[in-house]
Amino acid sequence: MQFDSVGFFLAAGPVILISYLFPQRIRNWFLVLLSLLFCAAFSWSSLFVLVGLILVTYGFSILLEKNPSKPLFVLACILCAGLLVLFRFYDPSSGILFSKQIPFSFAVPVGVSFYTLNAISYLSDLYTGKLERKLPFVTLALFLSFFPTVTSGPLMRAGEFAQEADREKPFAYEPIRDGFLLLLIGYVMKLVIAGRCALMVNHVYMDESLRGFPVVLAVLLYSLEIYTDFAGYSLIAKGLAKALGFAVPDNFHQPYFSASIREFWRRWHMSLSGWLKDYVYIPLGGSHGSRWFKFRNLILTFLVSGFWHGRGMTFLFWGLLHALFQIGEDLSASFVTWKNPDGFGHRAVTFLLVTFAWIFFASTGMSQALSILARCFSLENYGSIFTPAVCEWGLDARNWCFLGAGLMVLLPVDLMEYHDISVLAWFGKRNRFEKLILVWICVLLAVFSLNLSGSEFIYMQF
Amino acid sequence: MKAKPLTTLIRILISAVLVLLPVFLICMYIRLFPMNYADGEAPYYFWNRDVSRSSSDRRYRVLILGDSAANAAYLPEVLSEDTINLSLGGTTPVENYYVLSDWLNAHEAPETVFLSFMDYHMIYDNMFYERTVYAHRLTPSQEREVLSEARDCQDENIAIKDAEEQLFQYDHYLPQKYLPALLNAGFSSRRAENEAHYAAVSLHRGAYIGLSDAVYMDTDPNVYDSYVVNPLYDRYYRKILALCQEKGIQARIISLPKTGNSVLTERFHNQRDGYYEALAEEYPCAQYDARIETMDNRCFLDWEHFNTSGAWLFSSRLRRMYPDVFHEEVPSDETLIGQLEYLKLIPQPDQLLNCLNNDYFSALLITQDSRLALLSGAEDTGIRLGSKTIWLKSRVIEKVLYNENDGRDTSVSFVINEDGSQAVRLGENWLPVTVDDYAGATVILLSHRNSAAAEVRNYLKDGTGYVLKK
Repeated sequence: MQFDSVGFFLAAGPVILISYLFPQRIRNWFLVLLSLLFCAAFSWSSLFVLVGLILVTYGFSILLEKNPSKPLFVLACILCAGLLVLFRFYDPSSGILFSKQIPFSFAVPVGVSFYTLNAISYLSDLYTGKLERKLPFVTLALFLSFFPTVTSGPLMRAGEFAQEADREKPFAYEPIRDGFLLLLIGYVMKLVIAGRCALMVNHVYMDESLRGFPVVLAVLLYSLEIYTDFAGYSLIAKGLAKALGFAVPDNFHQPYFSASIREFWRRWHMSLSGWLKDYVYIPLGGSHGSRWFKFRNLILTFLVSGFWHGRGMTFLFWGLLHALFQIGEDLSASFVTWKNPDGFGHRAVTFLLVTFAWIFFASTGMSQALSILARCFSLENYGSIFTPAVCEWGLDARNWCFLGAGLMVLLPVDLMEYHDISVLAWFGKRNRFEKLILVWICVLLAVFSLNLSGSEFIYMQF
Repeated sequence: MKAKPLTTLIRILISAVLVLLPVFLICMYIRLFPMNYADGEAPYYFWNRDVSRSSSDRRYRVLILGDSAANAAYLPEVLSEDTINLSLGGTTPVENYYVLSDWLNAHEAPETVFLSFMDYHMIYDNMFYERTVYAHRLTPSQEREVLSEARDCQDENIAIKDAEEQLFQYDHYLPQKYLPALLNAGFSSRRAENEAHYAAVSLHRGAYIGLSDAVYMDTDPNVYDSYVVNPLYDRYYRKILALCQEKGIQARIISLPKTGNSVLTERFHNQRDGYYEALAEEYPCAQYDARIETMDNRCFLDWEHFNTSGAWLFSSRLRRMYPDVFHEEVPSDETLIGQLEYLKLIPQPDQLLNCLNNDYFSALLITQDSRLALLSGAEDTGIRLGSKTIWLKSRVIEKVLYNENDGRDTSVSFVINEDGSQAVRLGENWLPVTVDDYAGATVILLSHRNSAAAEVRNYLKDGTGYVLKK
């Protein structure tokens, strides 16, 4: 059951309201049950693997609490990570695992990339003592299966989640209202903007005869697509969680306004980059030691990030690129003192570097990525800017208008958030009429984009 | 002070209603004004649903069921006054069972049902959701019954993964299913067009496909080597026949003719004829008829659908083959209007000649040198019109067109005035005539009932034949 499905739309409201009928001590069990049903709605394999991981993680947590031995901890991490690696090398369409045909086939469990990392972080925190004691079973089960975040994050830390799970959550209007507002903004980002960008990007990428301007435009729109798709999902997840009374961390903080690649990774998929920093980069040695040792750790961490996204060469290369970009920034800082390191020039260069790397991320293979790059380096079709020919590349005039309207919602929201003005607080200060109009605009934009969205959220495939 | 839970709940519900109000209004618009935005064949489906479910005084003794090939082939106005064509484009025996069922719930049972499906629609259906469910041809309970049967037969066309969700969206007129049509129509710009389509299909008693002058040009052989029936469609075919059996209706399973370049192998014959003959044996009310195997390519607009002249010819032949089913009657004015619309769509004079009704329509052919002939389907000689040769009669003719059935007569005469202009006199009406300058010919389509010229066409001479000047 995807977040943009009719079943979800119909069930979300009642389910949230019903959850408040239960007293606190039972509500978490209800949410676990709901979360498991949510997973089961995708596939039986999703449910079985998740339940299996919950039980295995709980078992290891019992053992680690009694005897925090390194071999036990390493075994636990290998099992969890092994699950991720297993499904990385499994192709559900052909039933091939590690290049061998297996006698049965099943769907790749949804969210496996996320809850395995949550399990590893939980066991790691328990082993290192960041968590004083293991989580109760229901809290752990909810932490790993929490339906707003199970499919595509954001990743959380067990300790923070446990506090949220245990906190009293009175039935109040404001959290539910704010939650649904975040949900609505998320849907505008995903349905109105990401969905339309995808139409153009897919059309142009598949049509090898198109060169020059349309390809450059598609490459730029892919940057917008992946941001609005993923950030939109994260807002939906955050909004749902908020409506249920849970505070879930932000996952994006206007990353395309970054003035450096390093800053970009402090703003993009913050939960994953935080996880990689705490559980890969720092254990590898982090920034301690020589510069080259730091660079080595950076490269390894970003290769892990690349592999986490997918096992194709393009993902690894994408990760390597980001590591190299940061190494380049680090080295250049030794030789050059930038006059205005936060200026427009730096932001533009950062955006272009990130966009360049996305070409590899979005491609099915290196040959496609190189082909797209080559097609960018052409002067063809630049005469078509601001002409009706633009409507022949996957988006007609009406869809361009909707895309523009979506950006008119997104830009002010992002600018406000970038300047640390809470959009919810701003909204709360509007009068009733203004609130209704703003909400109706977003609702109508989303409704009129529903038929476009049949594709999954991009990060669900990870 | 904390708000009471009930107050909070009320606030939330009121907010939800306000927020979702635009969505609700859109859904209501979709529900109430489908003619404003519906695209494709929706108006025809609406007509089919309306006429099937609402009773009327008029008795139809013959029903046509089937898909688009059947809709194109059977012209009710040519067949008989009490024939109605309830076939629908893109459908299979599944939908047609419910069309018949709806009809029988609201009308007296017909005497005969003709059933025809193209081979493709006995295997595959990719339009169930996009047309049948979209146009709400079936009731929600009928849709669920179909889904249940489809699951039982493991049919992947209808029993798709999210079938219930799809049905829910259509049944509740949710925007995402109707948005493309809404937006493309600018919400309401299709109303006139859809109303015209609805009126047209009503006039033609259900026929709407194939009303075209296009001609199938392909000459490469179309080889038919096998005939396979989807278990779900077999099940529903049997349900149709069982229903006919129960209601005392004669079922005529007609294998529609294929194009002239079709090659039907022995295996194909064995499989197709074997299947239908077995059905006819199992259901005594059914008869299988595959006597017309192929017809000339000029009768088709594509590899499966008749064009207008082809449909007229097929319907005329069927009428002769089943004289006990299609009774001779005086056609109503509405029927003649429908026939005239068909005739206007037939471009070639020889095709037109083949379709002319002796009693109700004639064509007057006038050549540039003022020679003329009255064309009423009779074999004449003289000039070549396509495959026919017409002999022209005297320079000035006077002929009485006499209709025995209603006693009307119309005299036709051709006059050349002093100033050289030409005119045709039909009864009391005068019609000026201008023959094309390019050594062409003029055909005037005459309606006996109205004693008037229904259409004037100019043809250009093209070698030994004539082509319609557009």
